[in-house]
Amino acid sequence: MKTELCEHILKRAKDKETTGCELLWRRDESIAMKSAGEGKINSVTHSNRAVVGVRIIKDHRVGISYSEAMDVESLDCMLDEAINNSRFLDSKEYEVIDVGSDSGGINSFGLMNFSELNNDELFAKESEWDNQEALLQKMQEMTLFMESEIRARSALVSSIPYNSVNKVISEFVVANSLGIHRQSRRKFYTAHTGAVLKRSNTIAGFWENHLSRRLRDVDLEYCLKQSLQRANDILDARPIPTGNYQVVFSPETLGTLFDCFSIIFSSKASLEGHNPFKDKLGTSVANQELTISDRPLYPAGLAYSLFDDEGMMRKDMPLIERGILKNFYFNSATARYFKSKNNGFARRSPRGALDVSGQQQYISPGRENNSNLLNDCFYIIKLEGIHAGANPVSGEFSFPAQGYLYNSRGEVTQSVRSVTVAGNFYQMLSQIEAIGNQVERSSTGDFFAPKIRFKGLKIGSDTKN
Amino acid sequence: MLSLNVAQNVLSSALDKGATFADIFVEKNRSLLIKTLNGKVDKLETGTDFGIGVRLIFGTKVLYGITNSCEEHELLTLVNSIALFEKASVCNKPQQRGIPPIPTITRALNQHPSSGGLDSHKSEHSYDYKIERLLQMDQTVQKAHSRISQAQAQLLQRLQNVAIFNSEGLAISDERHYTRLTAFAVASDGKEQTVASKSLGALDGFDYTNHISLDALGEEAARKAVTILNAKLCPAEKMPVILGNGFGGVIFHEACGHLLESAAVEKQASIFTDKMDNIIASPIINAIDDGTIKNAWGSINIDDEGMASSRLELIREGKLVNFMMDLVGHLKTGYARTGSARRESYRFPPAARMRNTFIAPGSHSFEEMITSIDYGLWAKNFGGGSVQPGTGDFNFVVEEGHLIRNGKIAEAVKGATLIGNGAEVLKNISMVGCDLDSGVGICGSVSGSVPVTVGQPSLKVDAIVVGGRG
Repeated sequence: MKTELCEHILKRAKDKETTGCELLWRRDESIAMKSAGEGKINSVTHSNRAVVGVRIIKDHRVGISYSEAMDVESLDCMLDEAINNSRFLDSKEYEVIDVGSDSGGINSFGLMNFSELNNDELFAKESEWDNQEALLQKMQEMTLFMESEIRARSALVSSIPYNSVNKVISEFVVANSLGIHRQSRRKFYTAHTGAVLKRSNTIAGFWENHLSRRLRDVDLEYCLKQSLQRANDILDARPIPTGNYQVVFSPETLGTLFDCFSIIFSSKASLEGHNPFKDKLGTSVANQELTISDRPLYPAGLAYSLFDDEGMMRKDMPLIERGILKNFYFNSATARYFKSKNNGFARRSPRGALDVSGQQQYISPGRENNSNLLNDCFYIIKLEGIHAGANPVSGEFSFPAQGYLYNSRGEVTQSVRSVTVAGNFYQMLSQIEAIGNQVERSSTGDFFAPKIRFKGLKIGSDTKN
Repeated sequence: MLSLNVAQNVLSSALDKGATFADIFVEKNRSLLIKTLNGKVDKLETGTDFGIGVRLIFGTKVLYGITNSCEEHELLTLVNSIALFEKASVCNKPQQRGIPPIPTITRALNQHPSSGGLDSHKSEHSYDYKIERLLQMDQTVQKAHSRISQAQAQLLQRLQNVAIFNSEGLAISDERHYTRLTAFAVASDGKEQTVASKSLGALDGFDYTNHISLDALGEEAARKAVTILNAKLCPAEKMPVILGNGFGGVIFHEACGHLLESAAVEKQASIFTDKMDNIIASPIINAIDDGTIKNAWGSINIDDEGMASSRLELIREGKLVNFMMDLVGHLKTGYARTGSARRESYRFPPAARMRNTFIAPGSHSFEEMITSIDYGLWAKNFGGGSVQPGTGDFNFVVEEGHLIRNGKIAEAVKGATLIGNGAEVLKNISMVGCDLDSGVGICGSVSGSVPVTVGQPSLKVDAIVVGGRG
């Protein structure tokens, strides 16, 4: 976003007698190339869009509005709407614009001396793809390669409905009336493929994707092997009898579980009264082997981030240490409300209100050798219906699952489908039997965890022992 | 929003690049969100989205680009940049035919008159009045039961103005008003908390809320939250299930409806692709997708390719009789377009999507269905779910369930998930109730999230795997 537009809005906000104003601008550019099993690209989408959102404080009230139109008239209208919206809200004395003083900003309605910050060192450059036509040619080759390889590697393929290679660039600016002006850029590529296999009347499908900052690092072979192998295994899969099983979740599925129940770390949820851990800071909430932190500055993560959505500088933070709850995620408002320190986990889109959320969760390795960890357990590689099947407030969940049953020697005895796994997430944290000694990355690149074995989760199916 | 002259120049440019068809979708969307929390206004947010999507079709290949600008030079640049994706375009001959002359932009015939949209300045549509109504519903939730620990009331309103132009001479505009009200309740017994909600919505302005009981909405959300709080954990086993009327239709929507949309059919990703005119369901099943129901949440005057909406039979007495088709699906499969092309916004190219989808009522009373089961589950209310493309395997969460014992409704159970396969369940429906009802929701799929209505009478399925931890 042009600096002049930022200055214009901030100045107008000052003229309208607001006591604080924050602007978020976000631009997303993407190219998505898809094929659907016909040996050719069947769709290409080029997206380039931007949105600006404003949050103002007036008379201790918060006003929010956004616009996708960037002309001065529309931006003025957006600001006026935000000011008008604030009139209807109750005052929230704890919500102010106060990120700035800690970060070299100026403690007044300063319109100059923006402190600029960017993360260009991670905006990986690949000179061979500077040329748009060469990039498109490469993306097309990759998409069609995946499709042709899926077909070539299995005689059971019945359809290959979704193959794609995407390029995504996001730019983000946060500016406020205290002089903060930070910007970041992020770029990544994704590949996605899936195989639908058919044998007799049995159909099975599995989809896999991989993300990377560089096109050359996108692992097509991983996507191909995973989708074909998993789909093939599902063809032979059958339910296991209803009962209690030791369960290990893959990093992928464990990440989605933690995401589902992320309110346990949310100070906003505490403020609203529905965080089940709101009174448990400093107490034991999990098995003493469990240590979880958030590492926004971990460069291997694709969600690496220098500052949060209020412009507060990030740093790594322990969440649970040896089973003890150590921290919640705070933004400036929740920190002020709880008289705590803002730890830089504000989350806000240009369209919405201020919230908090995690960035890159990291579960520390344990002591168990991976070769022993899967002994005599159900290893879950896929969960369906994640957000519908979970109650974050109570911790109850029930999800359809796929995976593998392992015997006591750590050998796969059958692949499993058509079962549900049910439990209580908060109780589950205390029912950890073992934590593996190797940390793995989820395919989305923002969750890192070893394998963890939980005891006594209920598996449901149409068969009984 | 976009002048006819600019639109024609952009479409001409697309044909010059060798496109066999091109269209432009212009959208301006205003939105309002008001949310109360325990008797106070917690959120009031507004915003404006504006953008244009340009689609170029080369045979059956779709190139799509979007921009926030309506300047002619920006749109021509966009056409140039997306045409780069069609490598063959350099050797494609420009289309000899030009754009047919378009005298004016036609306003779509308005089949769903609305009142109280976001463009109204009447006092009964002011923020003050809307807040007053929401606080009333908020208070109803709070007072409904001593176990209610938190109440929320939410209003979402949207005014979407669209204009659609295509290279065959179409220039049409439409105005769509949406209003949705939701009551949320959190119940607590000091140890556990449960959450429930109840939502209603219409293709209409705020005056729609004058025709519904906000008290009933709030009370139902509270009743569900308290019922779930007191419920036991559901056992895990295969059993007969009565799928509740109304929002229970979400199972048909997810497990079968999506497999009848052109995106799945044209890619051979649907188990029903080659089943036209075949029996795919129990002969007592009739299923319809109707985009014309007056002011219904999923209705539309015209679809997002500019075609008039329609009422479409999908399954007649168990036989598959229609797919939902958009233009590209039509070009690939030969099936006729059905006025079902929809998209969340200009950010997505259109795709055939469900609108108001329901299973027609049958002859059985609810009591007959309950008494026919010795031991089973009445899945009264549903949460969300999903279906796996290609296989039709589905999963659904039962928000509120009750066991059935000896032909009678017994204790409430929670934490249940139904899993199965859409094609199999369709054939295992043995009783269809006469109590058709519907519910509203937002459906996410290839062209984004769109408003849909789902509906059905109570249905008895002879056996479904029920997951739970009781």
